[in-house]
Amino acid sequence: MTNPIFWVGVLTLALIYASLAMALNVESGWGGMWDLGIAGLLASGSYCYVILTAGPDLDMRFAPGLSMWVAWPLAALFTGLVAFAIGAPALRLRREYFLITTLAFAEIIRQLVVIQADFTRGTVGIPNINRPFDSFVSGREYNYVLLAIAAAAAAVMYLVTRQIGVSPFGRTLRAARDNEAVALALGKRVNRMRIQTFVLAGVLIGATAPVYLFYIRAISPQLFAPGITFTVWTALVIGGIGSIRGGLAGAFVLIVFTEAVGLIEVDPAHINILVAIEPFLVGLLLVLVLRFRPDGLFSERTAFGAGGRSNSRARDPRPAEPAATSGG
Amino acid sequence: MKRILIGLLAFGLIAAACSSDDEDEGPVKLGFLNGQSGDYGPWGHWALAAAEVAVEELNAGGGVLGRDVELVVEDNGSTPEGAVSGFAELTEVDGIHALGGIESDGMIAIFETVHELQIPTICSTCGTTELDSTGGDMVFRIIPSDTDNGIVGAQVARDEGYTSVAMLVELSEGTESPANVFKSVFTEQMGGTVTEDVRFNAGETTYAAQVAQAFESGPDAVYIAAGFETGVPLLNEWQRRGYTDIPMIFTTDLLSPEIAEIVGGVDGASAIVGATAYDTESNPAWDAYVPRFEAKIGDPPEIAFYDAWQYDQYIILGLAMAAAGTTDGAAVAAAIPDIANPPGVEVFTYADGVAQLEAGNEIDYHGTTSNLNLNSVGNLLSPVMAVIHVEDGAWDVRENIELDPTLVKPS
Repeated sequence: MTNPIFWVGVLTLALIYASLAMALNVESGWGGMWDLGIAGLLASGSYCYVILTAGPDLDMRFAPGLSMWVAWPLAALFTGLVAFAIGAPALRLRREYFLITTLAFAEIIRQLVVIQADFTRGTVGIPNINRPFDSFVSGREYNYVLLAIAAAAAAVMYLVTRQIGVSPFGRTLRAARDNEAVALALGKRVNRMRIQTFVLAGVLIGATAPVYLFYIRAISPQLFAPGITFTVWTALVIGGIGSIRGGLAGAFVLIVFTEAVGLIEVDPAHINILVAIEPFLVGLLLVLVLRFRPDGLFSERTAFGAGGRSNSRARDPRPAEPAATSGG
Repeated sequence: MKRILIGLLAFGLIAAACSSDDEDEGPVKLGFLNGQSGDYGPWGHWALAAAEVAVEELNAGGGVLGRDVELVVEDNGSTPEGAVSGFAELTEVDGIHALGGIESDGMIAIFETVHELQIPTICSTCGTTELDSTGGDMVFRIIPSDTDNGIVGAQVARDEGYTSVAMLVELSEGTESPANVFKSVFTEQMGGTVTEDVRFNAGETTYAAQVAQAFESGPDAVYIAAGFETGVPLLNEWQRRGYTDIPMIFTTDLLSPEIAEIVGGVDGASAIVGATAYDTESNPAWDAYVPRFEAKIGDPPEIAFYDAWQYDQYIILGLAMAAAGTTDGAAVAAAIPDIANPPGVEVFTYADGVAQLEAGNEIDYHGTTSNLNLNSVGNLLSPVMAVIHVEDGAWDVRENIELDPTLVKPS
């Protein structure tokens, strides 16, 4: 039978991905901005946190050794600034051009981390990330502390994103996504609102970054490959794009399912078959969800009531096409 | 939200109701946490085959402490996140007693947890400079470090009479680390010149610009640090552009048959590798390992696939458990330097080692890759290095060399 500590770790990772998926939902589900740069924003927040908390023993050019409680909000704010720097030019582009631009920015951030080795220790990375309360609780028991931190972070993320979703700002955001021309005709400053949303999502992702590092306990550029972005997106699609609970539910289903598949016991000689079948099974899960629940486990319609989303929009989940743009 | 929280709570309670296995009974479980998929995937098949050969030898030798040995395999997807979750599964679900197979970035991610859970770990493919000074308690490295590889590369360049080199370096931990050491030693300690230092990413569409930049900078030789998957398109570009009269110095990762065929197929071209090597000269451990590995996989061992180190680590772990008389992590870790270092009767197989231990003798295990003597931080005292040339489209080990003791490891 399985030791509960293992499942505590799985739940922790699921909650971290749930937080990221809920942040993604704000910009992509409600804002219609299909962002493939999650890994870049997560890298920005993570490296900001690690650099600010780094001590002189790491031999880095800038290592102020700040308290983690100071560095944590600064990492969130810094990620918001990075999101602004990306969003200002990228949000002038349409649909797939925006999507590919955010993916490119994420890769640029990763390469900057590699190149700026004096500040980031480059490809070698940084081991032994300090974690809150680890002087009080250590070893296996710390997993429960980490679960509590991840749960608290996910709960705050849920409350914040829910508040955004039901606020006038959130309603306007969805309205602009569904029919930008009408929103503009009503005097809404759609472009400004989109940038605000993109920055807000950056802040939320940056706030989640230290929790991810507490789980991994080390940082290196390899950690922020595009795969992490696609995992967050898969979680959101399974849970339901646009719904308040979708990111939370989708991350749980995806991470628990993935880890459960990993528990299948095979002879070592056949491990390559299991390795090959794992992504297939995850893909199959995604296909089945999309086949039988096209809107995901939770739909936007049920989240916001009948008026929450137009029928046409519900059947056509394409990203929004900004009207006042110069094209791409 | 309330329903979700209740569901979470119920899930936690169900999980908590499940009890863990008794780890003091049943087979001795040796974990193999390795990239069977992802970036390290091409090496995975070879690494696993070597680990299986070792575990078969342990079981053929009567098992460990009279118990069968089970190899528990977990794919880490070649990512730090995969290493963390894979290690959690190996320790919390499978209840492993010791760990092997892990690569550098995964090792760094689980380093602290390994110590907290007291899981003796041997790193058979970790070149990372992070382990140059941090191991020795619970983590041991039986492969030369990237620092050793960088120094030997510079040593080869010096011995060949090169005073200037251009560098072509893939941006990854495993290639940048030795390259940075090479550059430091070659320029600061040998007075050499680097005419161009070109860094590039894996998976680029073309390497034409990078190759031209390096080879046209007027060097005596070009130092290339890259994985073999990147090395193939890079050398195809080198061949197309006709830079074949400039000698090349490679790092260990390029010691694959494909690379030798490319270089060997060009008249006048030469490539030399100052590399990590296996200990093949008059070594009974090597002689016993090769036919069993070939029978398992159908190919002979390859240095670039790091298979023999995977074998050695499990023989060491088995002998350490036998010497300690327990699978307790702290006791096994303490026994690892004892069975790897002199004094003691030199042994080359698990069965011989156990026989000597049962006779009340201390042992000094000599593996397939080196004498495996370890220093106080769990690193090799005298790694086996070699000068290897391309000869008729294949790699030819010209001579084994020792690291020049006058060359100082860069700080």
